[in-house]
Amino acid sequence: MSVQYTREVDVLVLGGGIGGLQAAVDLADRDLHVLVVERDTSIGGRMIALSKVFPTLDCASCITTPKMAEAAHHDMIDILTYTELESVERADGSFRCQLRRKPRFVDEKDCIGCRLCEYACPILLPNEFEGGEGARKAIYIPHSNAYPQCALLDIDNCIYCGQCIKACPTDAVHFAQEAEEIEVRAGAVVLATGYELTPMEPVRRYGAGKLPNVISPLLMERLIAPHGPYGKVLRPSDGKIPDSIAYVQCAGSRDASMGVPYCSRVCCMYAIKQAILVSGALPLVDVTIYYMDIRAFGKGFETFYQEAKAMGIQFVCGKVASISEDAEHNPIIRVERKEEGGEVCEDTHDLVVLSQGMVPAWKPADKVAVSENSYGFIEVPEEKIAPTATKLDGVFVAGTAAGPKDIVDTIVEAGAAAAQASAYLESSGWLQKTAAKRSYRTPEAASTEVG
Amino acid sequence: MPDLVPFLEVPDLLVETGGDGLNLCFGCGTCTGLCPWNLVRSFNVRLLIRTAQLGLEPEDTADVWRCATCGYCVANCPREVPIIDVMRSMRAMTGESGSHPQTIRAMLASQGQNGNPWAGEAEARNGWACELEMPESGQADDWMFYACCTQCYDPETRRSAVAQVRVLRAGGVKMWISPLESVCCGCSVRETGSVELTERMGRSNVDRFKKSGARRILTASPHCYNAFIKDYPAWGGEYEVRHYTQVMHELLQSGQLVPKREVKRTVTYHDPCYLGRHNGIYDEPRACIRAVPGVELVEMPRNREESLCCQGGGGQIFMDAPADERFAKLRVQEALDAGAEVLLTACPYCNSMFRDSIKILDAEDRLKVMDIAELVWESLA
Repeated sequence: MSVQYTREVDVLVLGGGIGGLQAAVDLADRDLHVLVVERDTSIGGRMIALSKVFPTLDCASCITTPKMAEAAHHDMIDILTYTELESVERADGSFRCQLRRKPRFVDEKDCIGCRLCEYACPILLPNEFEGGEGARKAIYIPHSNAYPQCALLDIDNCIYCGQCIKACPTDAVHFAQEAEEIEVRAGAVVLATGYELTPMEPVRRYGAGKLPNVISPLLMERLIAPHGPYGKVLRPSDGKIPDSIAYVQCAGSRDASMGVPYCSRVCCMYAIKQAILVSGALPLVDVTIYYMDIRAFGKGFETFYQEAKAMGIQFVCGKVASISEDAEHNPIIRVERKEEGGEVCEDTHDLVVLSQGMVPAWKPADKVAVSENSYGFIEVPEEKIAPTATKLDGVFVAGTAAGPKDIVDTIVEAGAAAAQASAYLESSGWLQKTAAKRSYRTPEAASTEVG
Repeated sequence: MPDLVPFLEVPDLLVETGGDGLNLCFGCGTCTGLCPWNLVRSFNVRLLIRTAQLGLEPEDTADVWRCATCGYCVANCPREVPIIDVMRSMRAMTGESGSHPQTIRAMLASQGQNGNPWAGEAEARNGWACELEMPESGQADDWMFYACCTQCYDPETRRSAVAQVRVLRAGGVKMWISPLESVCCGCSVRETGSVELTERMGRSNVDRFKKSGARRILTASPHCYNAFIKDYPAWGGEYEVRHYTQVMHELLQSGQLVPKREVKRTVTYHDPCYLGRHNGIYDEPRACIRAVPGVELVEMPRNREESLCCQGGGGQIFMDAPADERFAKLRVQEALDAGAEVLLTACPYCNSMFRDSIKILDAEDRLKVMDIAELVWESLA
């Protein structure tokens, strides 16, 4: 552990996804100094990897990148990526937050994002951003829309050949870089830590994550995105263009046997969206959606569903019992077709997408004294009165950290969290206490001041 | 056309008689898709539950008697509906009007008269152990060995009980045989919905066991194990209960049992439903098999939690399904496909079901059914 220094900000926003960025921008627009802490290598969260959004089919990155840029270039916002929150403690009416900035082995200040190191690196690895498809180097810029456009070195897969060091025009690569412990004092905290997909490894009847052509919806997003790994939809096992694609709804939602008894709210719509998009990309493809019931509850959702049906997408009522595969890795779906006499059928497809649900991506555990609800998301004790307030006064939550929701609801909630946080800063006396500093300080000065 | 006038008291009655999870069901059909019956013939579990919720009579009353209580649907039900409990309640209700299938009626009659399901004479219960000279009582810390009725009365399966006792004795386990007056553990009576008879038999066993001084019971069958653990405490029968594979595993671990002779065989292990899914015992039997030198253990694709039922539970063993409707036949084929020469199991029902199906498939020269204890004994003797 190297340098320790202290920063003081008005609000610390944990999570640099669409919710966190929206909250940060809303707060910063009120002249509050915000620090966004993101544990991944880039801000942008899940949304930057999506193709399009339902039900309007707007381009997802065309919404996310401007928001990322706005946050990145805002005078009142500082961003720390590749940084974990270690603890938050209440002290003297404010929060003392311990952060750990993981080493990128590339100096963020010196790196100009030229990618010469990436071109020089001889190591090829599966590209996580593309759901494991495509390739990246051992030293790489996370993806083309990443912010910061700064390389990082995957030290576990590095062979220390030194090619990147030789290639770097600004001497930014440092194999000996260490993690930094950072202490931040904040007047309020917004948790926007997002979601992960329900893990499928424990679900043996759905292949336990081992069937190559049974994929996650986020991989499918990449396959249908114009800037995806292959520029077309190819199935993982053999690169074949699929003729028949199936969606398995409620794969890890509304299923107590998988530990997720709740509805994840977005899977019906994203499956329909992907079905529509893939039908556009592959005009001859057959798409079948196996479902229990379609929950098209938002504005324009039902119309979207009806459009999908009119396009010829098949909807089969029945929860998929199990998925196996044949010798060519074609997934076989076993299901009771409830509306066809209750017959148990085995249908073979080229590609199966599991419409996985949402589980929390981050656990407060012993880091922050907020509570979890019965589903493991961050609890909002008085949802109807104070919709983003957690158990801990001054700590707010927004987006999927509090429970499954779509992008629109996340953005609304992020705005609400920003409003509640700024009201809190006033009522807690933080603004008055820091008024003197506020009058002369610039964010740059504030970020380096000690004490 | 079935009766479409609902009997509104039916759902309430089912809930009262133990099927209180009935109304949790949201009709997704996972159970139907997973039920092994649908590998051999159509059986719509979801529809059966739905008709019960609505108080309607099932389309085919024979469906009420199909469930083998393997628990595969229960383990994977999104709503955690205790489907077996619901089935049992439906059987209890159907049974009250006397409409048991003939075979089940015969089994229940034998249970009532002889204390076993196989129409065997009560006095012959402990005949299987004549060559073992087991004591009829022992010290408080000794084990009471309780054999399954199937082992007591089926000459082919009894070999497994003998092997179990021999192996455990070789490991220094002190045990006595359950009293001659013991009756069946009651598993198949319970699963076929005869609540009163189950309790009568259970209480009679609790009495006998008490007289015999039993505090620790070793069972041969996972079904007895399940009954002693889950049913008997309600009737005052609190025991330390172990399945023999658990004790055998401990003996092998501690070095009290050392299988020396090499047994050069490719074997596969079938997880009995009541040992695996019902009681979570998957590793001990496998560890026992691996302890035998020379043995190669291959797994069938459906193993552990995904094991395919042999169709012996829930009274099915007495129902004598037609040859092309037997799960055991599929299972035997899976064992053959896995390249096994021996199909190992640790349950007398599975043992008996597989023997029959091997004959049906004419595979006696390619595959042999053995109890794990028989394999270990081969390596010890």
